[in-house]
Amino acid sequence: MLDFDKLDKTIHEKGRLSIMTLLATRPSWPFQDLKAELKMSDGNLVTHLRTLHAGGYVAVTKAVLDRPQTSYSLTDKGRTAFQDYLRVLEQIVKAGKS
Amino acid sequence: MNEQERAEEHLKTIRRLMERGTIYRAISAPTALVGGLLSLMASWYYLHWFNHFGPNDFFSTDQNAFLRLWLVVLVLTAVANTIFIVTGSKKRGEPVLSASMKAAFTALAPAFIAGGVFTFYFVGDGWVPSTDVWLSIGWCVFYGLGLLATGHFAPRSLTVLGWAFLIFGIAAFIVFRLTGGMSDVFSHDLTTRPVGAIFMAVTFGLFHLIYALCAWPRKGAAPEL
Repeated sequence: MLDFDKLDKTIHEKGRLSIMTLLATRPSWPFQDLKAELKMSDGNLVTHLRTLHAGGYVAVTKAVLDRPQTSYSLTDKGRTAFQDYLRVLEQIVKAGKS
Repeated sequence: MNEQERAEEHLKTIRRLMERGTIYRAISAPTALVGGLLSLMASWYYLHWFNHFGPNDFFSTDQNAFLRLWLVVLVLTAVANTIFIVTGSKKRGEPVLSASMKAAFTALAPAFIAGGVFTFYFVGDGWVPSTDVWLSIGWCVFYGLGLLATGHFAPRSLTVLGWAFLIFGIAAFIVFRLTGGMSDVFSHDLTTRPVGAIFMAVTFGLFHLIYALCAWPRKGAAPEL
């Protein structure tokens, strides 16, 4: 029997899950690119990123290139949590089909 | 919605976003713009030169002008592409040689190597006027095959560009093979020489400009898949 409580509640929200997924595809994502990709408002995206950052899943890098830019990346803890989350998700789907 | 349906929906979202995040455009719009403009300029220069000297003088003065000219275009476009890649990577804070780029090079390599061997054979086997035309057709076909090889991670516009090169190249091969002066692969008809330059202007020139126009990043637009 699967324990749905195993699902990480920080990630198990569509907005935060989308952010974690994109962050898993590249070493880092600038805020504007994340915003454009996910079509989220500034406020919504910032709130989700703060939650993920507070959980230790996301690292923030601020750099000044031609203009100030904030980039986000997965921490080791975040990457492990995301992989664990995927495993549980797959188990739920498999259990439903069997 | 039960937990299983929710899990399935989340997995779909993850798959979609993973694909979007890892999509890679082997030929960027700015590179296509530079390559297209250089190709048009090179074709114009070549045709102008040909008309100025006439076929016989042109033939006797420089047999490999066509190959050399397009090697210059290739090098200049490659330099521009490198600059775009390096500046783009720095802007995004990514390593210059990313995993996606390595995958793109690996996919492009077989067709490009075959194109190089094809060129070496045609030029090394002794130049005749129709060599220019066959080279341009061969480059078009191999380039199209290379672009299509990146199809599993390329956006749709790049796949369309690959098909355009391949279909146009094959069609040109059939047409030139079946018609008049080009029926002999090693034709010595000097008037066939400008055909190669015109062909390059249409394919590597116009096709790239149309692609650049379609693929140019627009602010606020959703990324192409």
